[in-house]
Amino acid sequence: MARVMRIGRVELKVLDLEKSVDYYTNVIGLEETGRMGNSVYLKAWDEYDHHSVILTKSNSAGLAHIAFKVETLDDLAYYERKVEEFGCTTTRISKGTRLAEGEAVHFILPTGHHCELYHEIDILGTAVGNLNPHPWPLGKKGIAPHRFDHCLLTGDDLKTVTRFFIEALDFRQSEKITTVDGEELLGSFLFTTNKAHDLAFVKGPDTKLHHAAFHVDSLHDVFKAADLLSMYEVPFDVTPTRHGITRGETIYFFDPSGNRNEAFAGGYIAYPDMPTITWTEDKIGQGIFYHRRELSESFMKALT
Amino acid sequence: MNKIILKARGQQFEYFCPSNVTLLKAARDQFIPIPTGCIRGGCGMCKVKVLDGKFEQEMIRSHDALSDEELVKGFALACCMKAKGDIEIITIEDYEKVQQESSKSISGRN
Repeated sequence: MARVMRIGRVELKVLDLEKSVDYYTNVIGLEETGRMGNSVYLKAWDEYDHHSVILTKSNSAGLAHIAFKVETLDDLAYYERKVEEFGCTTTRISKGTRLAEGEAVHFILPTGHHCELYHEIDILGTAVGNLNPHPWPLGKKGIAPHRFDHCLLTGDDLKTVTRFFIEALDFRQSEKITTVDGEELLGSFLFTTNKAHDLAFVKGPDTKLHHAAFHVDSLHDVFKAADLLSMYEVPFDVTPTRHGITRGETIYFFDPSGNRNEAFAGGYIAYPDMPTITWTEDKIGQGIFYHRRELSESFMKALT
Repeated sequence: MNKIILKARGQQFEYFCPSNVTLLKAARDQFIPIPTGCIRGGCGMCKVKVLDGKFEQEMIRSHDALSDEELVKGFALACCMKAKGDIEIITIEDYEKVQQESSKSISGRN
């Protein structure tokens, strides 16, 4: 059966390319794997594909595109058809358009975000290799997450975008936020792996990025990330806490272009047969920030 | 020290800001509730209209947050602007409210 394997990459628009590369390599601790045109390609130490993050110089911040990796080339053709059947126009992005990538299928989500599916990408391997590997590499820098983990995007029509991911791409919904009467959808958490979310949406303006998240092992690593961010004077949005939604441990902060990042740990294992968890709007503070139990203006309104 | 008059959240605040500190940072240091986002010139949450006074604006910023056209019209981002003398500013939120109210009162007269 065809499967979308994971969220494989995010391309972020950045204002000052070199400042951003310095931040993503030294503070986040990703490895630079190549450059092409106005873009720099990066990967986390535990990822084997050539890149999971692309930084592209632009005069605005935000999301250029997200892309999901499918298991085979047949799956790429299969999902290309499914996306078309749903009513989204697809175009093929040819091999060589970006570094180390094969063909990709491009389409625009009902929330206006650029999205791609792909199978082919060069493999570089993890920093510890796959023969008798050590648990982590010596000489790690910065937060040194295992991987790029998920994105949260904002959009107006969350019901349609949720239906798109479920019907066209075989995702499942782990959690949702609704109005108290259950009529309106205010948040939607979607997965295709066994993570509590691979992609999520909250109600807001179309095309905007709320955050791009990186996976760390534990609450201790979230706390250590917070220490590092203070050492590097990176502006915080939210200091370490727990999410009610996903149960993950978290910290939010901003990259040099104002794109929000998260270091995320924990969260439950999501199974295909799990019933969707519902949060009602009156408990949304607790759902998002389990300890503080109220939202903050910057978290709700600062988008790129 | 520059004297800052800030209109925000339907109120007026007055505070002092050294020339080497951003208007946003000085307001926050004095617990003045200025809308604050990424502090990187990326999100535009701290956009203000400068009503009076001279300032210096960091030019590397998101053009979605502050376009060239807005810059010419006297808008700025409080997170990356510094005062060059006394200055009066109003948050974009309050500015838009004032604009709406004045257009309402004009149409009311007709």
